[in-house]
Order: sequence, then C-alpha cells, then structure tokens
Amino acid sequence: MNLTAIIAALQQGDLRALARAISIVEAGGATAEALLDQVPLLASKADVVGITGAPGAGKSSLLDCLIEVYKQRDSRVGVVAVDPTSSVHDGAILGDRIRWMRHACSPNVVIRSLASRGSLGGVSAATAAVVRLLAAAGCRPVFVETVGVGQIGSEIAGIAGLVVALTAPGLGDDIQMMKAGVLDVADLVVLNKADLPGASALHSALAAELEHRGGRIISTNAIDGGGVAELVGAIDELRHAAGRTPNGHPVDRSRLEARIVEHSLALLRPRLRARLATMANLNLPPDDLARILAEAHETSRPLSNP
Amino acid sequence: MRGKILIAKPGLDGHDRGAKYIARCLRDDGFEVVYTGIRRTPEEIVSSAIQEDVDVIGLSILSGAHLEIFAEIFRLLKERGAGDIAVVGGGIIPEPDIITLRAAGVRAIFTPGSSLEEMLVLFRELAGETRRQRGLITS
Repeated sequence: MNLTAIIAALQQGDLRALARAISIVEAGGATAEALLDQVPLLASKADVVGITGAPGAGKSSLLDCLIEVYKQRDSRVGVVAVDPTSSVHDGAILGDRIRWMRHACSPNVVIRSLASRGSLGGVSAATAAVVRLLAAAGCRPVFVETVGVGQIGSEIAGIAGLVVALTAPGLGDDIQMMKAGVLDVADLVVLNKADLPGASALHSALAAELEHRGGRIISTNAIDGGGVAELVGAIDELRHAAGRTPNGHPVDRSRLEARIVEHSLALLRPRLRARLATMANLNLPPDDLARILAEAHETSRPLSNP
Repeated sequence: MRGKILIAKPGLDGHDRGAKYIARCLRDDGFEVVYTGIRRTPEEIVSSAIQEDVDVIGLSILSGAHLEIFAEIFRLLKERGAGDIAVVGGGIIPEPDIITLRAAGVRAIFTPGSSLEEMLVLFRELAGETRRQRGLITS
C-alpha cells in the first residue's frame, strides 16, 4: 500500500483516499504510525469544534443545523461522529449519520462515523488523528460529536479548540448542574429543546452554575432552527479569539491545565494501543505483562519528564 | 471488530423492521454498523458507503424496485472506483429476479425464512475478504 500516494490524493480532496486513510489510522499499528508521520499537524485547534452532551440532548440534530450553515461557506465542513462500542459484543450501531442524510451528496460535507472501541472518554483513541486527516483534506472547521456523555467523558477538550456542551430540559435539576462534568470544559453551553416545559428552570440553574466561572448560555431548538444563528455567531467569535473566553478574559489557568492533561493523554493513548496491538497473544504470562507495563512507562516518560 | 457494514433502505418503502433487526444482530456479532434509514437514494447510499469506507453494503427492499435499484448502485460504485465494496440484499424478491441479481454481482439475496446464522456467516466472509484486499487485516 502506497501511503505517500494516499496522502497526496487526500490532500487533493479525494474522498476515497481520505476514507481509506481514516480506516488505516483506526486500525492502528505500524502502518497507521507511518501514515500519520506524513500528515501535517493541525495548524490551529480553533478549526476543531467539539459537540458534547448527554444522550438524546440533540447533539446530532443541532449539528445538522450547523452543517447546513457552514457548508455554504468557502471550505469543506468535516464531521467526525463517535458512537459507543458495546463492551459485551464489540460491535456498534453508528447512528449519527442518519440525522445528516440531507448532506450526504453535498460536495462540501465530509462525514465519518467512528466507534469508540473501548475508550471511555467520549471519543475513540483514533479521533484526534482522524481530525488531522480531515483537516489535511481541507475541512474547516471539523466538528467532532462525542458519544453521549455528562458527568465523565471530557476527552474532547484535548482534541477541540472549542467545546460546545448541550443539555436539554428533563435531564436533571440544579444539583445535577453543580456536579463536575462536561460543563467544566465547555466554552459554550447550549440549552437545546428550549421550547419544552422546564426550559426556563434549566436556564436559571445553568446561569447560577456559570456565575462561578463565566460563560454564555445559548438557547436553541434544533427542530425549527431557533437560536442556531446566535450559536453560529458565538462559535465564529470564539474561533477567531483563540485563548479567550466569551467575556474577553484570558482562559483561566486551571481549565487550561486540565486541557493540556487531556491533550497529552489523547496523544499517548494511540501509541500505547499500537504497542499492545503488536503483541498478538493477549493471554499473557506475568513476565510479559511486566514487560508491557515497563514499555508503557517508557512511552509515557517523554511526556512526564519533558 | 469484524468489519464495517452499511445497512440502508433504498426507494419508497418504509418497512424498516427487518433492516433494523439485521443492523442490531450485526452489532451483536461484533460489526460496526452504519444505519442510514429509510427512503434513501442510490446516490446517498453510495456516497455514504465511500465516506465511511465500509466493507459491505446491505440493502433491504420490499417495494419491488430491486432490479432498478441494484443496477444503479453498481453503476455508481463503479463510476466512483468503489467496486470492491461487496453488496448484498434482502427483502421480498422473486426467485427469477434473484438469479438476475446474483448474475449482476449481488453477493447474496436473503428472503423471508433465511436463517440469521447463515447471514452472519456470509457478512463475516465478505467483510474479511474486502478488508484483506484493502490490507486492513493481514491474517
């Protein structure tokens, strides 16, 4: 397989080559590493927008509205959608694309569905690398929709320059809002399904929560497109003001540190997985396990001792 | 992960219980399944299959339009250089048409009464075949 030819073709915008490169990267191992060595790093994480939130909050439906807006612009829109792999059966239903079928034939929209494949942080181990491939194929921005998450699963903060967290009425009261979770890493908080009963109580609870750290709440209705223009405006504003909160203050240090940790882990995870994948027999004697752990330690050392 | 499958219902037919059942069974057998829903055009199906880099396309058709739809799917796959994706079908399809479709390149047609085990075995074979050709698995 000629990796250089695949990369040259995807940089020309060839969708078949892009799709194949993504499959190689998802499969992991030495071929994936060799391919990624030839793919340019992201010029700016401001081009990567994460969409996260609870299952059923309306992430895919709202993203459908965003794709409709961004596809009218000059560049291609990239979308990476992650759905959960069954921990029992190892398979997955990738059901985000079904919300976006009206864009299926648009030359300006590139969509790829990924299964989480054992990762618990809301994205798959290969997601960061897949985003790089889409960017190399000219996608600006690249949207990343996470698995449905809430109280854990903040890995998206290591991949996206801008995180939009969705919530909707009926998912919990003000105590739920106080708990740690994706709201901690959100740059924008979206109250979707804003037409439903309970929306104004939820808005108050969110506003009280955001009082502690600043940030903006945008109410949307993905069915009739209400609030979408305001959301697009806020996303664009933040993309163009990298490193600043909506209030114009610098991003606070603890959130930045959390983001650096998530980002470092996102870089490390595929390398560890690739090393494990090269060891064919997982029914390991204790000596081998000790060796793998030592190797894992070696792999992580450059990050822990920069 | 055994492979990646796209399940779709082309044309004007909304009876999706069978397609959803197969998608779910494939999931439980370790496949990653992209389900694109009902009333899809051949263009939407082929475009999605290419972007998702699937190994097999499975089409459920109960409307009677199978001859036209499969022909258009194959025409588009060939036109876009994606002829290596295996195509299978299921639905209400008369015996003489099954012979025509098999001759046209459809790898299998499943009708009411087909066994699930038989379908899973075929999906495993076809996905393995495509992935080996693509160098995604080496064994």
